[in-house]
Amino acid sequence: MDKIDIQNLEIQLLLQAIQLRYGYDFRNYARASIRRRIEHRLVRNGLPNISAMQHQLLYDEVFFSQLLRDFSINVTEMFRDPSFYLAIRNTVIPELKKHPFLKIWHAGCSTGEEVYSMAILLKEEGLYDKTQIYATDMNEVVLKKAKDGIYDISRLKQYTANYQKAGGLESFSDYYIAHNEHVILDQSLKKNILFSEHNLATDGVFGEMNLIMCRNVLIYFNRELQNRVIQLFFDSLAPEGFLAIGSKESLLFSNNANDFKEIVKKEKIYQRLN
Amino acid sequence: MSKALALVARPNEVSEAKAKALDSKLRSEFIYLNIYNLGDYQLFLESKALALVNRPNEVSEAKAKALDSKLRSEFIYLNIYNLGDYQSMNRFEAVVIGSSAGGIRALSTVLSALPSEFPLPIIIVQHLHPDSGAYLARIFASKCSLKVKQADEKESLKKGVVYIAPPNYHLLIEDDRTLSLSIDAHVHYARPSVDVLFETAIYAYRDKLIGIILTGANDDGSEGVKKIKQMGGYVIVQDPATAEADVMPKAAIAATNVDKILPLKQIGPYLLQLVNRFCKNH
Repeated sequence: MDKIDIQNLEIQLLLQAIQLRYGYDFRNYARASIRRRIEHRLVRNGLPNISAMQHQLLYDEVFFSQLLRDFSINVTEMFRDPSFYLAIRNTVIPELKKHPFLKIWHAGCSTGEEVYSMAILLKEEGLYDKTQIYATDMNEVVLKKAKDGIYDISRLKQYTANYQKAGGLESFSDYYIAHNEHVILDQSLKKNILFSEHNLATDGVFGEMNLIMCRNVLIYFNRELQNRVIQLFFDSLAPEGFLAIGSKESLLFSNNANDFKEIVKKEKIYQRLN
Repeated sequence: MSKALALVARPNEVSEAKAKALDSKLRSEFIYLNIYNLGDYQLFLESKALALVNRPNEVSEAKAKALDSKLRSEFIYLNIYNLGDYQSMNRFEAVVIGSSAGGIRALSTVLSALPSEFPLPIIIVQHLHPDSGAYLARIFASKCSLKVKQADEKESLKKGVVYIAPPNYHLLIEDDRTLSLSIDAHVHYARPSVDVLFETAIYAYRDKLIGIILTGANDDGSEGVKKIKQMGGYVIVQDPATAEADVMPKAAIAATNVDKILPLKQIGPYLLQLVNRFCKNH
């Protein structure tokens, strides 16, 4: 056993320790990313090795919540991939308009930028008032940020450009107030959003959704966990409900590949078959 | 194996005086092998060296002790008594390439020198504008005989295929030699980042990795090449004088003792030569 083999063993033990101590299960996450995040934390905290990190996280809950933040996917932006939102507007919205009441689930919503993007889109399409949005993440710290709906002003220029490219009908400045270094989103956008903790690796089905958004989350999972989650989405969708995943993600290799029909290939928008 | 090959790949380090100090039998082997003649070291590898390590009985401990101490320690390090270590003949199993400003032209030059039956997978990070789509793979596909594609998550790496990191995603290699993607924060202002690819490739391929740094205007990749060298892999860097932007190759050269610094036009042919010599099981 060389150094790398021992380190791999340490990572395996660390993930098991986290699962046993805190209930979060990262064992089926794509390992290369997890390893980078662990190494990053190791260096930042000056820990000698992963075994020392395991010791610390078992006894120190504050340290664990730090590590949990490291493990979360917390990179997002408003109207990320504008062409995706344009496709939702042009292809999915007309279908959703047929329903009297809508349920939309943002799984792995992180700090909420994409949830509010969807809320704005629904508002402009006259669907917001008949929609319940469920925004979930495994990490309470990012959920808190999502609930606040307050973002760094440095991103505003990009968000505005994204909004326009995404087919926005109004002026983006209608949806926020700039205050010092922050952008405070229109509080009325929150009215129909329910933020709650949900862990895709361990928790269950989430109701009869008309649209599930889960973009750039599956890439962090191994095949086994991807399969579990796609099954979970299938079970959580209403008949003919839509599923949107990240542009580099695919249902092709999942056990449920035949249960979905591709609606917009380039944007990875699928529809559940009956 | 890696050390012995490193030794014969650096003939300057085996001086004539050293050779004379060798046990006479072994010396005659070495003379026979013409190890002073770089061109012949392929022969050394393919015939004699392999014969030697495949018949460990013929190298007695006494013989090993009579060797020049440097050479002896190399041999001991190599565990030549352990036949098991020599079963695997492929010195290299993957090539990773990083480039930035000026990289599209440089990559075209390197890739077009390689044949469609190139025996290793080639994984590339070229810094790109986040909205640039898959056009890079199409450009290279039209210019070289290798199969070129944009990397998909979870796909298994295959020899003779060039994988290009998609814009706005990091490209990582898992230990089972499949690809994965991430939207983690930028590294050196870049996503995809060369360091992320190289550092994950090291875990998957260890010393069987060739890393190449081409033109670029930032220092992404220098941590990666340093770690490739620490792990015993092989690093080639474009001669900064031939680079459209010299920051990236210069940073790589400053970061570690790289194996080869070559003008752009020689990188492809050299890579092919290197791989043909050292990778026979393909």
